[in-house]
Amino acid sequence: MNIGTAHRFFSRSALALAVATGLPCEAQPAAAPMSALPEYKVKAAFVYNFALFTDWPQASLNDGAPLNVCVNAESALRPALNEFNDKAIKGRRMQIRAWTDAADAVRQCHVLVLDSVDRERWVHLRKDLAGASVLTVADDAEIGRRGAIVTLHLENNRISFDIDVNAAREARLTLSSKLLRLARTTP
Amino acid sequence: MSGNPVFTRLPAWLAASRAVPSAACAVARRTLATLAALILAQGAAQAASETEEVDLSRLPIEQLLTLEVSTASKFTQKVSDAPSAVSVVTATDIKAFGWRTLGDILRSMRGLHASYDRNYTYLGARGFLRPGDYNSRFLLLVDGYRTNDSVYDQGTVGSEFILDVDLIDRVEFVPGPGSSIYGSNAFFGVVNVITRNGGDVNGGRVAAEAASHGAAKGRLTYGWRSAAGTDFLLSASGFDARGQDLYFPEYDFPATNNGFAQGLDYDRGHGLLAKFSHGPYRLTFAHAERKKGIPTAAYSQAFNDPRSFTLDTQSFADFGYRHSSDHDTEWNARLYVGRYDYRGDYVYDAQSAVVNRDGSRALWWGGEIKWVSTRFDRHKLVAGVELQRDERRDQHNFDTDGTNIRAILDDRRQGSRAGIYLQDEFALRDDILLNAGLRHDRNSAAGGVWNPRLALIYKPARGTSIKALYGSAFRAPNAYEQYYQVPGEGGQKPNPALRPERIRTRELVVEHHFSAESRLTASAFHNTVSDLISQELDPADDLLIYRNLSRAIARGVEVEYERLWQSGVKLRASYSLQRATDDASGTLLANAPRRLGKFNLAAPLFRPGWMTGLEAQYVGRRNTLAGTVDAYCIANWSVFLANVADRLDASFGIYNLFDRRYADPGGEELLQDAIRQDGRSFRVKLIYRF
Repeated sequence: MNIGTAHRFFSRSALALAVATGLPCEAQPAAAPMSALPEYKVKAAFVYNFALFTDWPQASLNDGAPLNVCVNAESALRPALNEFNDKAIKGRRMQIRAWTDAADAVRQCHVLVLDSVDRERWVHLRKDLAGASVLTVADDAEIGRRGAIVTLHLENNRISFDIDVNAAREARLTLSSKLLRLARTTP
Repeated sequence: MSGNPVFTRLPAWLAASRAVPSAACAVARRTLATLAALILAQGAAQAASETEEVDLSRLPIEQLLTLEVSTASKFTQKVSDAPSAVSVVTATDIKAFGWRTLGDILRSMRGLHASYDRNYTYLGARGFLRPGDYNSRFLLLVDGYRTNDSVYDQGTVGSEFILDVDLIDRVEFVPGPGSSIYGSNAFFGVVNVITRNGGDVNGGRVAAEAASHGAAKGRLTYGWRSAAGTDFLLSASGFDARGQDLYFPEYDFPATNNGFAQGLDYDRGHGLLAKFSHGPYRLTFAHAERKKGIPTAAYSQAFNDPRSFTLDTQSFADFGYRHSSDHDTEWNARLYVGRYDYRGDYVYDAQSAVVNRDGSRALWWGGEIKWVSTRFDRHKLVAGVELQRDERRDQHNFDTDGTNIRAILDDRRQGSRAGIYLQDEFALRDDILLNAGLRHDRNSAAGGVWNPRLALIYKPARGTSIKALYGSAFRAPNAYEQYYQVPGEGGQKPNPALRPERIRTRELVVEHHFSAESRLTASAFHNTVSDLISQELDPADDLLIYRNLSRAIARGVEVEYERLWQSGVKLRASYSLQRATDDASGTLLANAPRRLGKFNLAAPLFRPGWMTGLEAQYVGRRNTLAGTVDAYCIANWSVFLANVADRLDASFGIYNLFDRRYADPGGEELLQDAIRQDGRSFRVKLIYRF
């Protein structure tokens, strides 16, 4: 054990001891990457980045109109996504919308965020979405396997993502090479 | 004890705690409430401390990928195809609650209870736990592989289970008849255990634990996933528990050591799990061996004889292939081979060197193909074919003094089973889903059987779903019931003419999400079991025989409430009110509690990766074969601390926190009508990651 790890070992042991014996102890430093952040906040930041690095075909964007990010009203991600409401994306305003079942409404979305709650309706949603330029982001491996464009994963307390290039092409979306490079797999 | 009032209008967990009868349990309840309040306050404090503001929208995506996140608690989604009110438990729950066996996990679930006779652990569902049934009425799957053996159809849930619980990623319990998809044994429900992958472990683990009554356990695991997706996991574990010197008042005579069974409660075993997967291919190998002393002198043995034990050895190899095409069709194929050897040494005369050795050898292999398709608009189709060859269904019994053998039984059998099924999930409207399934089974022991299942799922409003379910299931008679025979007094004779027993279930389930964070599940069920295989004494020759004797009915209601808090606190509480009776006599069945209550609260503590779990279980009064055992309420408390030192995690658990005295009903083979269970016990565990 070198001095650095020994020091870390002892300081952590001391902390554990302090906690175990009820002594007050300082929280860890507040710098972002040092302590764990809530999963959904980070996932919402990923969704924001996906929107940032995706180009939609001209036809699906009206000048100056907001970029619609739709999410199931029951989704656990919704509160975290709401914090990104009104953020600017390439001169547009990002608008977080609670999504409803009506098929035409879904085609108005630019980004559609799905989670396990949406599993049952995904089968039918996919058909409603056929040909529409909607970036589907699944926070659920099952939906991911069944044709979502981006799938979020949680592995060893870190978030990663997969991109289905064929699904992106079918939706006529251009994902930046940066996204493709950072993705875990691009089948 | 006075009769318990019914508190159906109260929240489930409150009702469960209100129904606890004894004054002592009231103390337990208050302490539990205080602890629960402390945990909730702690969770809230944790949430408040998370206010450190970071503008995540300013972080580049490369950095987002490196951020360590604290996992939010969420309602886990089932992976099973059956429409049912499924219960799911994950690896995080197993850590938080410090569960030691699969039985510990299952008994925390709505509607389930477990019973232990200091040899095997038995599982009961919705008021049914047949004395002498080695869990053959539950289908126990490990990663989809059927572990029930080909002699007893036994599903092992105690320390004899084939896996170390720390290798479990999740456990799903699908209550109700599952034969329309899974065939025989999916009678009261299907337990689906999903194991962890190498990538989930990502590195090595050495775990060591010590527990009350001289118990020690060790585990070595290594898991790894390559960038190309090759995943690999290897794990070996072993345990040795000295056990207690147990007192049985039924044997309190000078000639039988005044009722003390000394050094006979030992429990030892070891196991191995190896998993490999690459792309669509998957290969799993598992092996486990467990030796348990029999302190109860079961089957009229000589009391307190150190030679009496059972040894269970099971292994399997399972190869799978998965292929998806066009995003809407998936093929799954599997080939497997499994074996289960049982040996029991029984001593009938303490003075003699003769030991009676009972045993079985089961060996089976088979394969299945499953097809899932969403190709047709509004339909999700599942179809499959299964074939299994039971190569050995052998049972033997002989007396031996070490050199000479006197054969009593040497029964060798073979068999086969085949099944074909189709299920369609059809969206009749956006808010109505019809799930219909049908399976045909052919079994060399039982002939042909059809099992349908029908579910209508209606979503009247967002967040609410109503499910009306109807289904049937069957269990083919096992080799033990059909062919086991031992002559002489207290012996048994075979009955090859046994028919399969059947169950028909009607159930209404209402699920309501109050928000993304809270959910209520309520269910009312009516089960009819016919041709139930039961043992009776034939007056003609005084021999025991299994016959399709009885018809039984179980009715009941269950309510479960689950709540998640953003801080990571998670609550699950349920209450079941049920009544299982013999149809002919109208009497309550043995080991069938009328009330069950469950309370599970998990919460994060102080630092990321630290958590605590508090659970309480209430089991109402149960009939035994001769009398009753009292209702009980026990609580368990556990703490898991990640990174107490560099790369070191620690866990600590107290089981039966308030040292409650309680007992489980004994089976026909026991003189004891009730078997006393453990008092307060402790466990400490350290896990080193490398």
